[in-house]
Amino acid sequence: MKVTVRVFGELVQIIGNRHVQELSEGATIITLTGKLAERAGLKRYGYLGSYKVGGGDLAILVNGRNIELLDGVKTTLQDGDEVVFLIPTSGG
Amino acid sequence: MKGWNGRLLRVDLTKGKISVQEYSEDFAKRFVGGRGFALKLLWDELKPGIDPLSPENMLIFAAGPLSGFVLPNSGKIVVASKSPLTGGYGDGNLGTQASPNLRKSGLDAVVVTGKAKKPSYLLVEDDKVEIMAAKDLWGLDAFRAEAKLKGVHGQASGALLIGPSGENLARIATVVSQEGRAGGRPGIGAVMGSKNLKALVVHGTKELKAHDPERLKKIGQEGFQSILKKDNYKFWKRQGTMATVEWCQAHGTLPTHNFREGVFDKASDIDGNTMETMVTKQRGCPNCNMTCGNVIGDTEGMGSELDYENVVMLGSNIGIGDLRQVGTLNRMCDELGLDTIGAGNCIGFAMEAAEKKLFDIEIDWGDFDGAKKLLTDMAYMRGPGATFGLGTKKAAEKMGKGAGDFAINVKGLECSAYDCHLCPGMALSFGTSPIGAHHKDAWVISWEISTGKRAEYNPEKADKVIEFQRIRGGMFESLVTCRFPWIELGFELDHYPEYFEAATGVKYSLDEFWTLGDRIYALIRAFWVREFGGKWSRQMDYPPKRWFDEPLKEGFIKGQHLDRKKYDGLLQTYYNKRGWDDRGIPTRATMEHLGLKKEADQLAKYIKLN
Repeated sequence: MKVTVRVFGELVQIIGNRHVQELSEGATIITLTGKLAERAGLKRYGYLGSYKVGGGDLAILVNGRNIELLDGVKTTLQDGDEVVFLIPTSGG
Repeated sequence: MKGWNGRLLRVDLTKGKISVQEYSEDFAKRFVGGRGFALKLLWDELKPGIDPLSPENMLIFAAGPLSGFVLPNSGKIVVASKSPLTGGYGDGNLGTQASPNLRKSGLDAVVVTGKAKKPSYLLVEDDKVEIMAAKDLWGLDAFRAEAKLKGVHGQASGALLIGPSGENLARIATVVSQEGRAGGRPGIGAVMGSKNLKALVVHGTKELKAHDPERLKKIGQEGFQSILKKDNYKFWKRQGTMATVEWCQAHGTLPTHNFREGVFDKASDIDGNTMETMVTKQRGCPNCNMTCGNVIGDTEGMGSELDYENVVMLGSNIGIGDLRQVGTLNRMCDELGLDTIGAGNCIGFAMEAAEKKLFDIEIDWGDFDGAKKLLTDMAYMRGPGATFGLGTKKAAEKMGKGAGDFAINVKGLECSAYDCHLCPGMALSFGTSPIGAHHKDAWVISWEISTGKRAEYNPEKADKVIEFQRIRGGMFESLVTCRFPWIELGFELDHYPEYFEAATGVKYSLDEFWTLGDRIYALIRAFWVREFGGKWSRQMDYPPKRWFDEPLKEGFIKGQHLDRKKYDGLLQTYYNKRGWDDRGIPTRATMEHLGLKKEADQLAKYIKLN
């Protein structure tokens, strides 16, 4: 299956802005972030750059819904899902 | 004293009297500059209960002890007055060449009272101060008036001025400078207009004396270099504050249709990514290497300097999903001298009033031409603009029929661009902001959401609001330095006591700056209470009714709304931590602890202190 990934802020420099990621059936958020990290050459498990997956500083949305309201990092992904990664914003 | 010039310029426009007053070291140390100075002067000298648009009101321009030195993001000035929009304390800050020029004229602040018989502007050239005729400037928009003034007084001068909205006493008129910098959301531009004062023009050439000039120069340059090396600097330079459009849309906090919703179906058409395809240049304040102003061409081929607040309030909040159209409205606000946040709120409020058939105006969501017309009408206070240009609170009172239910303000100042249906901490920040709803003091929303506990009303949120109010509302507003290096890039707070010491020779720890912040907050609160007397209540610290009573209907957090009882509990926690009583008034013990005994005695004449 395929999911669309969009990232935000300085993560753009680390893993690229927008791509389609191929995943096997039953893949979760943690599977996806593992693939993204591997693709970007990041070695620290459970992190994207300096952001902990499932930690407070990295918001992850699946089809616009925050994974906190789903199953957290164990949220299962479906074909065609859009996953957005957001770091705390600038602006104030 | 070093660092401070120790001098205030006083101008009585009624009598045409100009004088320079030296102030004491004690005043400097206790109130530092900027907001601190303005507040103390207003507290000591303003007669309570006066009409803010009368000659009795004081208009204050105050720089800080770091202004004029080559230090990161120090090119701003505070403008302050009793607000004609809220009736309470009002201030704002803006980047301008007038700030370093004022300090190099040997002055730290200008205090204007009275009212000139004819349109005038004030000219300060080092020790020469003159009240000049502004006959051929009155009626001009702020861009053209500034160009004309600089043509006469030189490009090196700095100007703070009003557009037609200030002249016509629109209550959402700001003070503007440099084609896009604006400050004084609580109607400080209208106060300037009420005095027949079109502009303050300053050109200073004196040397500013620091306690340790060599060190100040060295650590200033290191500071600029450090900012350039911050991890997020490259991305900041690309989008500045505009990155927040996408972030707010993703978190359901993007004000849409007069704060009814937190998501907008055309958000991607007005976000930072779209802006990146249109930017023609970047602009910033003096002494800044972050240049947050991104300029795009608008629908009329003019340059418009965008940032998050103005794009959202003049975009999604009024249903406009075309960035060049938003740019036009934004540039018009800057020319007319209208607050973009207030204007976006007032237009959204008018659109909803039209929809509900509460007011005779033809304007619909997303109506670009209607928005342009209403903006202009508000600036000239004519037609429907004469109502909406009063701000949403007064317009709603005039309209009656429950219009206050959808007037989005706190204490009369319109909310800035964060929907708080599910952000109680940010709602507390708006509720307790010292000028009415504004994000400049405690912008806690990014932190609040990143904790993963956005729905909670936990005491940590009150702590965070106070922490931000101390840093931003206390230290930065008094040093008059921009908060962006710290909040956006993580530039360390420890730099500021170092700058302060090298400039003034006074050693303050960060904790001492937090005490300064608490002192300022207590005295601003005392100012409000002195003005409102028996009408003051803790309900004045509540966010807009809509966030409690009208759940979101769209987006991933649909159905959410604030809980009044829980909010009140959070507010009480905030009061307890501040040492304020159940009414939200600082206790006598709190004021005395903050060195405000005399002020507590004065306040006790108006209301019983606990």
